[in-house]
Amino acid sequence: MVGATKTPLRKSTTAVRVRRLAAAIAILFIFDAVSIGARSAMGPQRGVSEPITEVEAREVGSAATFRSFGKTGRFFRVAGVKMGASISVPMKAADAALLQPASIRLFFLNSRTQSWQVVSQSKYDARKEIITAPAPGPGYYTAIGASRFSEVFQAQRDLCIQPSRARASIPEICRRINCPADGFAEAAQTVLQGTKLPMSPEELAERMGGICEECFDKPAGPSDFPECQLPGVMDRQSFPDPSIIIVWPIFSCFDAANGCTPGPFKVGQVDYDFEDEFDLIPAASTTPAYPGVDVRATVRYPAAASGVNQPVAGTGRYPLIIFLHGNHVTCPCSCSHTCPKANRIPNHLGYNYLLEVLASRGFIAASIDGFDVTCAGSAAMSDYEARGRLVLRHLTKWKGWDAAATDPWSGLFYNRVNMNMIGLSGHSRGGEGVVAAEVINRTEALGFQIKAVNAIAPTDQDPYIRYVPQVPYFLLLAASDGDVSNLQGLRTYDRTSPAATPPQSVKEMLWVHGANHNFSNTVWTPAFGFACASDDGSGGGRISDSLQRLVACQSIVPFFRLFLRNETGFRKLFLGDVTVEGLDGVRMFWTYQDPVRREVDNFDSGGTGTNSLGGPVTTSGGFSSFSKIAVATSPLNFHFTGGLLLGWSATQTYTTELPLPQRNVTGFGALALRVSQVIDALNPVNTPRTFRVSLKTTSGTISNVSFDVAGLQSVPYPYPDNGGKTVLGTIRIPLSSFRNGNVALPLNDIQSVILEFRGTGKIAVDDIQFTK
Amino acid sequence: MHRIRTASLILPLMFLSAASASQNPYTQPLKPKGFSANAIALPPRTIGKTVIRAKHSLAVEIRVEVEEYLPRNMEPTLMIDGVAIVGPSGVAGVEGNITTLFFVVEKPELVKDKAVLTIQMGDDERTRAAVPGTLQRDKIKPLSLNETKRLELPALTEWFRQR
Repeated sequence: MVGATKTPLRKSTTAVRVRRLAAAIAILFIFDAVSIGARSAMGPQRGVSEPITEVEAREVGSAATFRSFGKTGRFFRVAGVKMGASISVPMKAADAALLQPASIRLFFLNSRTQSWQVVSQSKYDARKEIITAPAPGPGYYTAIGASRFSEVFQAQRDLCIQPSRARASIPEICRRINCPADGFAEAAQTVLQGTKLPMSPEELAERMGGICEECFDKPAGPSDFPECQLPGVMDRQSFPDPSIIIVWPIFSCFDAANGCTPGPFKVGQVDYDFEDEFDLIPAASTTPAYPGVDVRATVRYPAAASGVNQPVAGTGRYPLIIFLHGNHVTCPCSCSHTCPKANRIPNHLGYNYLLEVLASRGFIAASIDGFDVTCAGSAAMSDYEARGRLVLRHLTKWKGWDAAATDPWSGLFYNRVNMNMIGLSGHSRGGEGVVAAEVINRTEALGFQIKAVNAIAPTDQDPYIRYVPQVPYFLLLAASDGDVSNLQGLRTYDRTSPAATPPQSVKEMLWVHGANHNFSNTVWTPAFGFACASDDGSGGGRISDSLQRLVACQSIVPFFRLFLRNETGFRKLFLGDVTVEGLDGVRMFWTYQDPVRREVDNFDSGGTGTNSLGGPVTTSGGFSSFSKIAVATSPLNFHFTGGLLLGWSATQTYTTELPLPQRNVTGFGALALRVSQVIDALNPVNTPRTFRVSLKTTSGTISNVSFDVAGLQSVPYPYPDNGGKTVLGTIRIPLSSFRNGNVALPLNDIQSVILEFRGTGKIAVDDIQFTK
Repeated sequence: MHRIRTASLILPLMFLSAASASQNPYTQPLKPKGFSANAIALPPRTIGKTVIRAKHSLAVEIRVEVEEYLPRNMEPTLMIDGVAIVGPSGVAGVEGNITTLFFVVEKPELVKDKAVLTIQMGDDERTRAAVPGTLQRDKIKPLSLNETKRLELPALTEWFRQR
């Protein structure tokens, strides 16, 4: 029963209520996890693709007797472990990566004292992928298998990102349950000591909530560790055995709407500075295009203690993210490279707000000072190639520092950099530079494992080559950009992973009204006091510099957490399914393309009568505008894609038909299309109108989903304050939304996609596709 | 600590950007003061299997001196008789408040006698300004004979005749 066990630490009725609420939520979570686990046991439902397999706990160094409760049992039990023997429990490195190193522990219940304790010397061996510990003595030992972590994590993620709970409840419980910097293990130990058996999950949750609340409320408490950590799963039955060991799956319970929240790690800092380290020389040339290039950066990393030169936290390797700034003054209001070093504009320090959060989340994040390729140029090698090669030079440094104790800090990063998980982020020319780095690395087979690239308001202006990434790509685009005012970076999104061009990768874009070019870098932002910082934005509807940085943090940090740490719950953020914390008033539009898709029409070739699948396209005949938009022409002149222009002043329908062999779409999860309103008298600003998207089966059954085209919700209105640029955003409709009454539409027999428009309006449409 | 020191050193300079909050400085017209031109040899350039330039080629580099140049991320654009030049560009050097921008012209037909030069940032016409003087082919400094022979390049006069 909830609240049956009272902690002596309660001080007020309010506190009790809050704690009970937290406990109730925790219990709800636990039950969710259990029930999902039960469903999963029956088959691959709710997105759990792997069948449950019980953990293979085994005794090391002796012939222990094993007894399994079978595939349907919740626990695997090991009998007959001798005193002093060791036990080991497998745990995949991918699962371990989701945990805090200090939290990977075995617990046992001491049958004599009837209290829970962490098994002494239990530790995770990343190389062997096992948790090992000395057995506390004969008896039965129970482990919740690592093989079930994924379902538990998924259950937690599902809970975290449910809008109804995530926004209010989860952060609340996160704050209470997260206490010790060292992770959940210590908290659990503290709570469970002295607990008598049997103890229900409800009781456990209550106790955890109480202790953590006190911990959190302490004046000197570790409130800088707001990471939410929840117990993974508890069996609802009481524990019958005198000795129980539990591998406790702990998930860093993020809130998808608040990915910028600092994580559990303390943040260490180092800087490196190698003057005139190398010459950038074009291939087949002996003359440096950029002589004497410095290799300099500031670094933030997960550390054992906050501050400069502190040891790296834990024992494992952390993903590496490299940032690169764009073009800006190098000396105060000048492109000179000769001012005293102390007077240089530290352009690379402008992303510290991102580096700090990333480091607290378990990333090594370095921001490069591109001093020698800034305010520079060469006829022999473009600015962008130079920037890309500079990034790769830094990666070479990091590779060396991981491989041997050769870094300037006595081997601080020796064996601590996960060079198999590299992310790049660049702003402006730095955005083009990091994409160039990915392209050069790939095409010249340099071997760096670059797994994700982000570009903030990037350029796209190398005069000879268009760089196209082939890894997950996130484009953050500012509508009120007064520097790269022609939004040339938008083309990079369109060129990435076009139809039928393998390999395909995820690409994502966030289009932010009111954001300018410079505010993403604090050094370029006037409020921070650096010379020649400026607000380049124009027009109304602007957002503040702090809000713009929050947008960057709430999207860039989740992007890297998604693709470098496999925190898949953030996928919903990029699908636009989450209202981002703190940004309610900001008009943001998401665009997303999955590698797995069937493109009904990408409008890049052919006429208006046939779609990309070869199916017929028909209309009701009364559209006031109905024409293909050629690549990079109005109103999609800022894009690098074709589209379809549709204008209407009375109800009209547009029908695009799937050929017979293409009508089975059961392998997809959603119908997606890119849409934007265009500036036109048919589109008065802020005037609500709707269009409906329908699916029709061969037998004639039609199911509709209506969408608002007001421009404030799902479909971008051209940002009128910066030239009225039309930018397409993705509307993504889960196929489960298409129903015929209470009956799901047969997805193996979809004949056509129908767009129905009412009132008046004019839109551009592109990329109608069934997608994952 | 370093940041604090840096900030304190340049804090007085923040007043130089006092107008920035109210007016986007990137939209101000450039202030070109003059130009020079010389022939250059562009080296081979490849990225992976992409061959941008297989062997050395001749081009003309036009250097424009600009007063109080404020860099931005859009490339500067040179126009010759109104035609925008596509090619490498950037900052060649800084002397006091004069920044020298370079533009590489690879098409000889664009290097015309008496042609008028204008510059702007990217395609931002608000920043457009005329460069004093007109282009004259015979004022363009050629490559040395040795360099021309070594790199097997045509003479500048011959290059002008190419299409």
